[in-house]
Order: sequence, then C-alpha cells, then structure tokens
Amino acid sequence: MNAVSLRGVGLKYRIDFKEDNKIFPEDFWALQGVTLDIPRGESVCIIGDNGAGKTTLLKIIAGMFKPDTGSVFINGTIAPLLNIGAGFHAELTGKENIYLISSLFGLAKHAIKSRFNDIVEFAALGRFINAPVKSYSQGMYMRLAFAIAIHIEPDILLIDDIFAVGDLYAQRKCIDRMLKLKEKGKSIILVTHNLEIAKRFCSRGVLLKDGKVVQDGGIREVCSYYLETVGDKRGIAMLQKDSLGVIFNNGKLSFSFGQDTITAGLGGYISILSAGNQHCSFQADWLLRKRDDSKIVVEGTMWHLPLSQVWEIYFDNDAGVIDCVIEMNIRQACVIDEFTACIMLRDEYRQWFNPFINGCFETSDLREEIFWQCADKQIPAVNFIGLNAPGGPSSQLPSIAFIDEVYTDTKLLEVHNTNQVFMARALQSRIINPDAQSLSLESGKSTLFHLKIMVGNKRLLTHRLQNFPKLMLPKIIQGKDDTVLLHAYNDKMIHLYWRGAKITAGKGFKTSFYYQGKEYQSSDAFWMIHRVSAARLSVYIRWPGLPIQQIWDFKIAGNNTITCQVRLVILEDTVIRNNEFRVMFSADYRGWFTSSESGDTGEDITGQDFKSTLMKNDLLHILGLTSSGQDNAALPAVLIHDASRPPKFNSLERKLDWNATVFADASGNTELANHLYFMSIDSKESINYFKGSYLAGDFSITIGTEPDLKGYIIEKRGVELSSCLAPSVRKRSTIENGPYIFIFDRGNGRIKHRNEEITSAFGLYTSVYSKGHNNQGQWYVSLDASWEIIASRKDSLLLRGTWPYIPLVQVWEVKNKTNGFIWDVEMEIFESTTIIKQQANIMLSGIYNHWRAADNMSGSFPDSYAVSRWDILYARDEIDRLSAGIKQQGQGADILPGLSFSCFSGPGGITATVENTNRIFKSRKLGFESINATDKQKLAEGKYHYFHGEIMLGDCS
Amino acid sequence: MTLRDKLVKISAQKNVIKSLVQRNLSDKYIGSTIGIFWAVLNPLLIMCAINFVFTQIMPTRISNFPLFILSALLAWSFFANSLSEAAVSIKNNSAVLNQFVIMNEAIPLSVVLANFVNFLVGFIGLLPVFILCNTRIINSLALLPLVLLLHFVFTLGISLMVSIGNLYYKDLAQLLNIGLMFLFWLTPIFYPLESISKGHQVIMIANPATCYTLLYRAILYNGSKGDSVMWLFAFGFSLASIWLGHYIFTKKEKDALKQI
Repeated sequence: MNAVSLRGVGLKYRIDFKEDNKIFPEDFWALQGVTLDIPRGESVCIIGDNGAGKTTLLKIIAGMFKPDTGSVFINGTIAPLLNIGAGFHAELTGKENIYLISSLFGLAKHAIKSRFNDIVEFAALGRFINAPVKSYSQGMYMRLAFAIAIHIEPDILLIDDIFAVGDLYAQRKCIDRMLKLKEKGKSIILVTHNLEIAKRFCSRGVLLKDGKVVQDGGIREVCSYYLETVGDKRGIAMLQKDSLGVIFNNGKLSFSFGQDTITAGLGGYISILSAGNQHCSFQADWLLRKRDDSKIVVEGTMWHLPLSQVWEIYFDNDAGVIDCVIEMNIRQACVIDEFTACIMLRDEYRQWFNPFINGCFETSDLREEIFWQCADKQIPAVNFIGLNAPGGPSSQLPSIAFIDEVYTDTKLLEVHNTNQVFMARALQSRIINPDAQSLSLESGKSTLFHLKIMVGNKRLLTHRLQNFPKLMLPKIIQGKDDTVLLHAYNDKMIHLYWRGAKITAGKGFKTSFYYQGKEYQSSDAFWMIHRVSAARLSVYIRWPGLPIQQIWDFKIAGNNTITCQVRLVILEDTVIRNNEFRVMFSADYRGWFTSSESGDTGEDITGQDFKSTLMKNDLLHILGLTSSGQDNAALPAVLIHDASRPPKFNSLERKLDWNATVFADASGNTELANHLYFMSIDSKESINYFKGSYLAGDFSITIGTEPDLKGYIIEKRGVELSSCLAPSVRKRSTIENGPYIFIFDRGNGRIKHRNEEITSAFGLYTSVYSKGHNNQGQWYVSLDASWEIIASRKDSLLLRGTWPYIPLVQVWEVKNKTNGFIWDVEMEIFESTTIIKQQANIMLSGIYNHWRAADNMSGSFPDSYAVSRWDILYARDEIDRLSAGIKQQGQGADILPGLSFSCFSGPGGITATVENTNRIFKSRKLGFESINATDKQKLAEGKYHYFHGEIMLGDCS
Repeated sequence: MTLRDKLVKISAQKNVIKSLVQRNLSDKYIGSTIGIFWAVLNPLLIMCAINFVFTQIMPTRISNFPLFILSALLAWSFFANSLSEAAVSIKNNSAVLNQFVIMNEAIPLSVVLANFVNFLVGFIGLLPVFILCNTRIINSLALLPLVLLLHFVFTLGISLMVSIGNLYYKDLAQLLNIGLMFLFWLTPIFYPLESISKGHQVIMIANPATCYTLLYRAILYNGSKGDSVMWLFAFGFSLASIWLGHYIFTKKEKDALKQI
C-alpha cells in the first residue's frame, strides 16, 4: 500500500520581474509532472541542487501547497519537520509549549500526556522545563523543538535538511530517533545535501533536476549518478586512474578504490580555526581553475575569512599515490589559530600504524561520544600515519597511508576516532598555533600542506614507506639567554635547561593526585601536544578511564622566566585528593630563601623517606633556591613564584592556598636521586570538583644570580602584602584582648599572644560531614565558605559564612572574656539536608607538647608527625574541656601561654578529641564533635545550635 | 470544496483550533496580573469614563447613556479587533502553516474565536449591570444568542476575506484601519439612528454593521425584540458574508500561500 502517491504533480510560482519600473509577471514551474509512489515503510531521499524543487515537493506532500496540475494521495498522518521551532509561544513555559505544539501537530491531550515524560527526558532541560521559553538559550530551544517533533510518531515523516541546523547533540539524538521510527515501519522522506546521511537512512533515492524527476532508484546508484552528472557544474570534479578515484565536491574530497568508497563522513577537507570558530573548506565558494585527465586545480574563497585556498590534486608517478598540494592565499592580514587537513575514512579501518608503533581502535564500534576520541595520545611526532582494514568477508579495503611533505616543527600527524554522526576514522595533519599566541598572518601565499595519500596493498605500502626517513622530533622551546624547555615525547617528561645545564632532574615537572583511593601521576598518562610554538609549549594529559585531564601550558616570558599554568579539566563531578604539582630540581640545590628567612635543606638523607621544611610564612608564595655546587659548575639560583591569587569561593575557579614546601627526597634504591621538589599541595584532604575547567596552578620559574633574585623577592613582597590586605580579597577582622589578639581570616580564626601565634594551619574552624551534595559523604570546612563580616566591634565580632554545595549558613560570634574568647556558632539550614557530624576545632602551634582533658587524662604530643596520617591521641564522650600547654623544656617554653578549650553545648552526644596532625600542617588539634543522626535522616530547614564554647588563655594547669 | 465539506474538515481539527485560540488568548493576557478579567474590567472602566463625560461634562438627554453606548460598543470592538487581527494573521503565522498540517482557514478562524471568547467574557460580566438598570430586558434576552451567532458568522466571513486579501494587496491592512474608523462613525453607536435625517438613514442601514448594532441595542437597552427588517438584514448579511468569505478564500488560497 502506498503511503504517498503523486500523479503528474506540477506547481508554478508567479514571479514579478521588475524592469524599468514595469512589472512583467512570469510563471515559473517549480515542479513538473512528478509521479512518485512511496510504499508504506520505505525511506526515500530526495536529492538535487538548490532550486531543484525538493522543498516544494515536501510542501506539496505535507499539504501546504495544492498542486496546479496532477493529484496527490496521502495515506496516513504526516509530521512535516520543515520549519522546526515554529509555533512556540515565548511567554509560556516549556511544559505549556509541549502541550501547545503537540496539539498543533494534531495530538489529543491524552496522547500528549502519555509521551510527555519522554519528551522532557529527551530535551534534557532540567528545571528549565518550567521556565518561560523566552529564557532559553538557542540550543535549549532547538532541543525542545526537536524533542516534540520527533515524538509525534506519524505514519509519514518529512524532513528538510535538519542536519544543517542544530548542534551535534540534537543531530545524534535525532538520528537515533529516526532509526527507531524506521524500525517501526514508518515512512521517511528526507531532503538533504549530505549524501552520507542519505546513504545511511534511505534505500531509495529520487534525483530532482529543474523540477523533474531525473532518476529514481537505489540510493547508491542515484548518489553516484548525481555526482557524475553534475560534474560540469562549478566546484565539482573527478579524477580516475586505474582503480583509484577522487571526487572533489566543493571543498570535500572523497576517494574510491575499485567499487568501494573508502572515505566516510565529510571525506577530505581543510579546517581553519580562527578566533574560536572552525571554518571548513566546504564553507567556501569553489571554482575549477584547471582540469584534465590527471590533474585538478581548484580555488575556494572562504566565506568568513579573508583568504582563499588553492588545491592541486594529481596522481603521482608511482601507482596508487594521490598528491594534494594545498596553498593558502591570504588577501589581508588575519589571525589564525590552527590549520588542519583531515581525511575521514570508513569505520572498517580498525588498525592504525606509524613508523614506530601500531595499534587498534579501542572498540570496533564507534563510541557514543560527541567529541572525537584520539586513538592514542602516545603517537610521537612522525612523518606518516596509516590505517589498515583487516579483511572482511564482503570486501577488501586497501590500506591507506598519509604523508605530509611540508614538515615543520609545529605540525602534528594524528589519528582520531570520530563520533556517531560521522562514523569514521580520521587522519589529520595539524599546524598548531604557529606563533606564541595566535598567528597574525600577513597577506601572501604559502604552501601549508603537501599530502601524499597512498592507497594499496598493505605489503606493498609497507615496503614503500620503509624508504621514508623515520622522524621523531622532540619539542623544544627556547628563550633568550639559552633558557630551554625540552619536552621528550615518549618519556613524558619536561625539563628545564639553562646554558646547557640541567636544572630540573628526575621526572622534571610532574603532577599527581588521588582519585578513588588510587594515586595517579602524570607519567602514567597519555600525552598529547596541545599547542607548540617558538615560545610556548602546551601539553594535554589524559588518564584512560578517568574523568580528569590536565593541560600544562609553559611559556617563555623573557628575562629568563618560564611561566607554567596547570589547568584541570573535569569531565564529570568528581572528588580528587592531594592534588599536587611538583618540580623536581637537581640535587645540587640545597639552599632556600624567602623574603623573610632562609635555610638549608641539609645533607642528602638516607634511611628516611623525606625531610620537609615548612616556611614560616606561607602567604608569600615566592621561594628561591640556591645550589651548592662549585663555582664554575654551579647551577644558577632559581626563583619559584606561585602566582595563584587567594581563592574565590563564589566562582568555579577553585584554588586553595598552596603551601610552599621544600622536600628533599632520597628515592631509595635508584641511584643517588636526591632531588629537590618544589611542591604545591592542596591543603585539603579532598576537593569536590564540578564538571568544568579549573586553573589549578599558576607558577613561574625565574633563573638568575642569588643577589638579583633576593632583591626581586624583597621588591615583590611589598606588592604582595598590600594585595593580601585588600578587603575585597581577604575578609579579615581583628579584636584585641589584653596581650591576646583574635584575627578572623576567611573562615578560620587565629589567636596571637603578643607577636607569637598560638594557633597554626587552619586555627579555629568548623567542619560538617554532609551527604548534601551528590549523596556522597564529605567534609565541608569553614574555609570553603564565603564569609562576610556582619559586625566588627572593639570586643566582639559577628561573622556569617555561606557554604558552597550544601545549604548551610553559620554565624560565628567571638567575644572577649577575661583572658580568653567566647566562641558561639549557630547554624541555619535553608533547605532540608543531611548533616551527619559537626565539629568545632582548634589547631595549635607545634610548640605545644602537652595536653590534658577534663577527666584528668593527660599526655604528651609526640615530637614528630606522620607523613600524611593524623594521629588521634585521645577521644572520649561527655568531656567538655580540653587543654594544651608547654611542659618546661629549657628555654623558649614560656613564649606561648597555656590554652584551654571548653564546650558548653552539652550535655550529651559530644566527643572531645585530641589529635596530632601530619607533616604538612605540623599542628596539634583539639576538637569537639557531635553526631547528629544516622545518614538517612535529614535535618529540616531552620536554625540550629551548633557550638558554644570558650578558649581560655594563660596558666591552665 | 463546498462549505459543508469544509465545516466537516474544520470540526476534525478542533483540537488544533482550540490550541490556536489558547495561543491567541495567551498573547493578550500572559504576564498580566489579572489575566482574562481585563475582558470584564475593560468595559466597566469604559462605562465609568462615559458616565463621567456624559453626565458631568456634557450631559445628554438619553437615559442610562453609558448602557446605551456599551450595548453597541462591545460588539463593535469584537468586530473591529477581529478584522484588524485577521488581516495580518496568515502573514504572521506563515511559519506555523509551514510546519504543521493545519487548514489555512484555521488561522483567521482562531483569531475570530479568540476575540469572540474575549467579547463573551466581557459581555457576561456586564450582563448583570444591564439587567439591574433595566429589568425589562429579561424578556428579550432569549434572542441574544441568535444575534451573537449571526454577528459571529458575519465577522468570520469578512475576516476570511481580509486575511487572504492582505496577502495580495499589502496595503489592505492599512486601509482596513481607516475604513473601520469611518465605519465606526457611520454606525449608530454614539447616537440613536432616529437622530439622523431620513435621507442619511438609508446610508446607515446599508452599512452592514448597523443592523447588528441596532439588534444588540434593542435587546439589551430597550428590552424589545428588535425591528423585523433588521433581523432580515442580519440574516442576509451573515449568509452573504460567510459564503463570499468561503468562496474567495477557497479560490485564492492556493496562489496566495505561494506568496509567503
């Protein structure tokens, strides 16, 4: 039974030609004598040039136009997707619009209700489904429109090149849905210029030309007939030699071997990245300059860039080799970030190879990813890459190799796996960022690519490729005065040299972090060069299977300075612990200096894991290193400057204060690798990252003589102090009580006695354990919150902190008391959440060596600290008072007063703990913890008492 | 296609038309705090204004002058609004026509229906005022639905014509507004028909809007059954208008739609 039946359909438009103010109306026949039968369940693609009458034909089938001649018979319901997005009412919500639009499609209310949930899920709008459509982004709007349209389930679906609009997400979902409709036996009539998509969906093709059906038959025959017959048109040309064929079609190349097309998706094309936009060679007007049996020269003028491309395509003297020489002709200076020559090949190609290694694509079927997957980041910079297709039962595809004869430092050859839309493997030659920043190209001509595409028998090809020199170029960037940063691709290392001397050692620059209890290091990862130029080296680092990626961006910034930014790219919400960035320096570096102190890391250590030195002042972020070598062989002094600003809690750029620490390490059995690390540590145990990109580190390393660098530090210090104190940067307030000073500093309280600090590390802080976010239990510390000072009086402070991620607000009141401070904390929950444990803690200076509890238990703090573990020395319920003091131990013991920390919150459920922290903090901790509920119970919104206590100072024995 | 075929087809698309009417109404009232109640409030406020002007500033001899005017004015604004909206409706909704399988008539029809709903809501809101001021009219109210129906059919017919006409003659929408203004003063809305000389009354009666106005006024203001000649005119104009509208629309829609 025919779903659609057209008999001699014709349609004319009346067009008014205006000449000399006179109007000459003329009839123009958009369609003539179209006779077409489409049986139920068949998918048909209508192919043709612009203006061939394709859209008019769809409109006639949809019933919008009544034909002037002939007749139309339709059997079944029709959903035309010709003007998707029409009919929406901007003021109505997404939900209301679903009902509105669906009923315009002719659905009854109960039918809409039954598919409402599917539509909402498909559109993935989240809460926005209840917001007015006018507040939607273009993408959301299109998604909703698509979602409604493809849930109509008509008998006949008419689609007018919707693949030209919408993002990849919408395209992919749309394709999935269309395949489903096809399985259900619905008829699809598709108009598209994308012949690859046509071939995937439709078994039958109808070629229209000037309003008449020229050919009607199997899709493959119609497509190839179309390509051949339109050959006399501009922008299309064919070359054929033996079994190898090339078709050039307006900026896209497709290759065929025998009966098989070996390209897929977009085929061969050039893409140019400029100012964040991708401009592809098919977005250009193409003209045939020259054409004979063995050579085509075409020129394309880009639509949005002031340049044109000249492609010269010819067969090499060797059989089975096609040469493509691509020249850029720049008419006026413009800024270009990247040039890529890409060939997409059929997914039957499952193996790739280069001069050094070969491998398989991860899975035989393409991943359902929207982003292209790089097959293997380990491919070194080589001069050729190729693909093999293991022999299938149906056809034997030839091997193909891709060589770029124009080889520059900044060019990379890569293999990629594309996405579901293209279903192809891609070979690429990329010219990345040919200058430090974007390249500002002067007008003129330059040949950027000379691609040799070799197609043929695998053995023959391998034999021929052996004649090519094996090239592997490490990437080097070099500054004035011989500062060199060298990147060794295979060893995954970046090292810093100065006048031939190696400043870094071991693994050089290195990152590591803990994810789900396992440690990952940059040396385990896949590396890929992201950007490279004379003064810039940027590496992209990926751990297989992890939602975490890093981009290291090194730049030579003149004056012997190298800057390094480490950016974390988080692909899904995740928790990372101990995120570190390290620079391993040569063991010759022993001395260190900051603006206020200096020291020595001592002799090489043996028998101990490592030795750490903690700077007294960890706010300055600048640290210098000096070497102890002989004068003539001495390494220059270096200065490491952490340019991270204080954290901004309300934005996504999440960083914490990085403690500048010098570690000397003897890594045991391997040689005398006594390296010096400059290490930055996230002082937090674990950090919850949302999907997004974060600047995790911002460093610079300056090389110079010791006096110069010391001068620089002192000069910098003034700048830094003033910026530390700027109120917009640091929320800080102080109250004084006799010799004692209480300082509130962004989520933690510090107590000083005269000029000596009693507290250390986090000082006074609160911490709650909640499952409020992501349903994973986690500690949220007052240092995370964003704080405001509500009132600051002479003897009291009122502070209010709003927690990120969980709906919690705390109000702290700190008041003077004779010889001490009262600390009251109230909390407010503004949305029901689980708060399982709550703590109020105080971290004390390591000088304290003795503790005592209210039940007369007492003990000493050990002299040393564990590497990363915190030791619990005492924990007991129903204890309301803890104190710490310094037992007489020679001189200096009376510097700090004794301290007692009391909790009045009682009576029950409170545990007092005494802990010794780890080497990083080197503090003693006194704390009170209460457990609220089992983790299933939620706290209702409202105000709660959190902690009420006091800190008494003086003689506390 | 005969008028009967068309009615069958339209009734098959009643869901679609319902949505289009809703969409039209939300255009008018969404975002406003009291929404559709404006349809009631608006004539009430007009009544207050008229009352103030014609009792305080410029007193007239006609008793209950606000009701005298409102009995005709509401129906007129339904007629005038429908026409001016219908004139641009197909052009403004070309995207909708391109995307959904909807009968072309549904677009002007939904405009007229939306205005009719609006009119009815205001009307029903005001009815108690009419009754309270003149209890006699209760007897004649039974005839009201018939006038409403005839008036609706008449308006729909004209709307069909202007909606399709505007696609051919782009000036039509402009001309229409001026024409409506002229017609407004040619219709006895602000004055009784009798106050005009006999010779001019002929012109007035030839104006199709007059018969409906007089019938509304007879039923709502005088409480009479209305002049039988006027009833005859009303029937005649309605039938002529809907037939002509249908004829022109069917004949011209094929070509007209190619214009958009």
